[in-house]
Amino acid sequence: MARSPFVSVDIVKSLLLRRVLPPIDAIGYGLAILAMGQTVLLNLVMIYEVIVRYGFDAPTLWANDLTYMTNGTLFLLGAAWTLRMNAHVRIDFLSTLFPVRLQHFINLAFYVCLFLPLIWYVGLSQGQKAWRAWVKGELQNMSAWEPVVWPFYTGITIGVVGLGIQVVAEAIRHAIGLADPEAVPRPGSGEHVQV
Amino acid sequence: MTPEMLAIMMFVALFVLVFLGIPISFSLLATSFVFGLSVFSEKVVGSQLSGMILQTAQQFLLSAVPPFIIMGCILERSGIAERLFQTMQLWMGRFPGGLALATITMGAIFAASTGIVGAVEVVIGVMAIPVMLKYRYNKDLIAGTICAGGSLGTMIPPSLVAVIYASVANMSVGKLLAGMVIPGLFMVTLFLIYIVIRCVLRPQDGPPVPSDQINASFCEKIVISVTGLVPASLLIAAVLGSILLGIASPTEAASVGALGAFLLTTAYGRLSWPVVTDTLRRTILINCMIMLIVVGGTMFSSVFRVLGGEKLVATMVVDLGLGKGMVIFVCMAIVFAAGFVLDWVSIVLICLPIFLPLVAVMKIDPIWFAVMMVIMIQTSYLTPPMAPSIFYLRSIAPPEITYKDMCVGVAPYVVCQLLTLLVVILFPELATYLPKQMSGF
Amino acid sequence: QNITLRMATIAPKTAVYNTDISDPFAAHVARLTDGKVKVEVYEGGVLAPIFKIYEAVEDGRADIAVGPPTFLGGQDPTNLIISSFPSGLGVDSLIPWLYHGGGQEMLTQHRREKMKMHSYILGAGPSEIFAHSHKPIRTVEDLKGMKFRTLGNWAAILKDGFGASPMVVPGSELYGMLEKKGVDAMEYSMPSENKALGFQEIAKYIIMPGVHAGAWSFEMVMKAEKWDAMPKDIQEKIRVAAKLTTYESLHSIIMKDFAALEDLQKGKNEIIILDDTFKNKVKVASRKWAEDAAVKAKAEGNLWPEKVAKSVFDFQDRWAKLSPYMVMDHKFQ
Ligand code: NA
Ligand code: NA
Repeated sequence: MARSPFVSVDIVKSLLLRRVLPPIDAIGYGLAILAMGQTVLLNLVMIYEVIVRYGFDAPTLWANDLTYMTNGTLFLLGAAWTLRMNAHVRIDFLSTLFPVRLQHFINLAFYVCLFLPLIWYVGLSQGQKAWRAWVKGELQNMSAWEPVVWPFYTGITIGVVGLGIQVVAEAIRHAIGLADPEAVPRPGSGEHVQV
Repeated sequence: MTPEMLAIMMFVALFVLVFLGIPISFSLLATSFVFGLSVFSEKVVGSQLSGMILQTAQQFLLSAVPPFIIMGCILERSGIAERLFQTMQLWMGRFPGGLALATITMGAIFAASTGIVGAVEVVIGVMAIPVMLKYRYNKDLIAGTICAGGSLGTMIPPSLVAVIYASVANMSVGKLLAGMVIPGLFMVTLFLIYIVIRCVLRPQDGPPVPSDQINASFCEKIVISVTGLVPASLLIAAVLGSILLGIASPTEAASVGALGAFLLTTAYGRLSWPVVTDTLRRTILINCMIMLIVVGGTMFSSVFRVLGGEKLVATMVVDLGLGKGMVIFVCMAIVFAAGFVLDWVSIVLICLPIFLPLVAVMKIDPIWFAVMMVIMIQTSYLTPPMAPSIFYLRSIAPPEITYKDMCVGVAPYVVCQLLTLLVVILFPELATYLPKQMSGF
Repeated sequence: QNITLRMATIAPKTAVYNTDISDPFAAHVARLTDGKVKVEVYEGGVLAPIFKIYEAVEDGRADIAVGPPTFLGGQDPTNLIISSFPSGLGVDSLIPWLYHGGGQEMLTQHRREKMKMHSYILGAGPSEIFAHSHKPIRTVEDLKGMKFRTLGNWAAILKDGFGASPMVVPGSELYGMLEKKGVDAMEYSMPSENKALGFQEIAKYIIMPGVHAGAWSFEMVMKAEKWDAMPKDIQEKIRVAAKLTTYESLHSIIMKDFAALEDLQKGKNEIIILDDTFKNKVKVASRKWAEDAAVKAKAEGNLWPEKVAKSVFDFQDRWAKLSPYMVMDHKFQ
């Protein structure tokens, strides 16, 4: 820990690690809990549809839409926490041979130069779609139920933005790692959980 | 640079990122973004990519993935899966590699209830990996078996690949599925034979259970089997039965399975708050990982096709002016080679419009051809570096099973798939007999 | 100077919507403009998810989108009435209405006004199959309680008008659900498409004609500013190419359907032809749906649905009244 030449660097580092990153991580976890609730909902909706259709000859018009909308948003809402838990699969047999600082540099450069711009433009576009859907009261086309689509689009947008926020946090971690490789876990190992 | 050159460069860029240790899904997304910029402005790329997110998010069949993960996780955490495998080991224990045989069998059974590879692989993987590790199975055997068992999701009906293939080729999905049944079972048999041969030659790769368990009296065996096998069999019967009786669609049947696993665990008194939360947490992590790869693949595929990727393939096939046998060989070789670097959706959508006119001109039986194509497409799940089966396995396997184990482990299974192809080429009736027998209503 | 236009479509390269509409249109445009305008046809899902082709034009990913106005959904019922409608215009009256009864003008005007897009009719096709069914359907009473797979406004009409249980099944699960009798009946598309997908193999009854979709048309849309910026002679040539494609596609698709129907008639399915009583009851229920939708839209300040519905229904009634003077080769079995 004594490697940092200036005391202020250590202060910044500990500030980031103790005060800034945990609340950001908490956002991602919060979204993931929402996603967990949605997986339960997803199952309940499908089972309900099976029961009323087979048991009572009364299929719903909404179960199908609700099912894919739930599944289509939950995987993005959970994406941030999945990143934090390092559960997005990597092929790292080669990269783990690199010096640790280089590994941090690669990840940092990727996040800052490629991934954050991507998230920015995708998030912007997704946000616009959600906004447009809300303003126009846009309905789901080609469905018998025709629900409004803004909740679906908004869920996707929140998921993308949440992922973006988590990417910022991970970029900060890699920046810290570049300065002081011992302050943070090695890239790809992180708080790896056995999922 | 010509668009076709750019299309080739996309692969180079993708694999540079992947081997630098960037998550697969992020690598796919970033490559699509960068190469999308060669066609569109930044804002338009953003809208193109978010369109592809929407395309994935609206894919109803993918709703089967979370319920299947839930089913696998509950069965594993509640100990039901372990008992199931122990029971199978009890009877198959005298066979070399009994657990691997059981795993492939489970893969075939679950493949009969869903058309999504990731769903089959995760459900058998989370249940079988811990048991096989416990019995000290060889790691590349474990890895290969799980990947191959999962890839049966495409080959055993129902099958998402077959549905997409049939809709692009304008053919009866029922006939295609019927055509796949015999080659599919043949392939399963080859998988089983491979395991047996390997474990006979190298018993340490799939060690038998301790003899005191095998030597249990017949009555004891029956009791163990009833408690171990019956509940899980009921569950499988509920899933398959609800599909076959028209009670539920395959996608809905996945949630019937999840509910069944939940009730089963409750009945066993194994349901607890930690089991529930742990299952949900794992479901989110695995599902997000799988779905983000699907999104990345969809984006990659769309940008690749905007850049004119199909021109690459067209020049390879159409311009050569080949005979019937060579056309089949070249088509299969292209699909096999493409499978190393492309996901199967791109393969179907890029190759079919080029191949189908040739197939028609050459008077090649379209069902026979389709079955061969599906067999080849199935290899794309296993052939690295773009090997979805390996990615899914990595998300559920402990770190001690390495990427190398996985790549080594799938190779013999790819050979089995190629053998299946060869046999279907030599004996077209294997693919065309059942479709002709279809009685209908 | 040369112009390249990216065109988003709704189907694989091999589907009739591309082989009989998008591709011939691109060829006509190239021919008429001496190669100055190149239309690049992208199959469904490349530039946009298939139901989002209009959005692809709005966002600039595609220059042209070709597809059915119904993809714009029921928010503005105009879109559900203008190109195809349950018990709407038939194969004989659709094109006359489009080009001589005001259809094309209303469509162009509506798109300009509501979406800032330029639209031409591009492509038309014949009737769909009413249903592949496990149970015979001869009278509207047979529909009662039937689990019937369909989409859109026909679902609402089936439910409210005839007491059926419309059911939503995604295309990819359709064959399996019909095969396992998870649905009693389903509608999908035209004879050539349905036959290729093999629904006749698994359900005994084939019910015709498809009064829920008697005939249909597609449109091509471009951003108005982009269209207006093109030279006048190019615009005119694109218009001619679109019109020519519309006439051709209706008949080339009919020929494909005929080939399919010859096989279906030879098969062991029982083909049921719906009678006039059935058709009239569907017409009453469908028009009621359209009128209700128009009233609701009017209350919200949208006069278009009423205008289009009135035009369609008046033209249809006029056609029915005056057409007996024409010799038709069509006859009932
Ligand atoms: Na399957
Ligand atoms: Na591969």
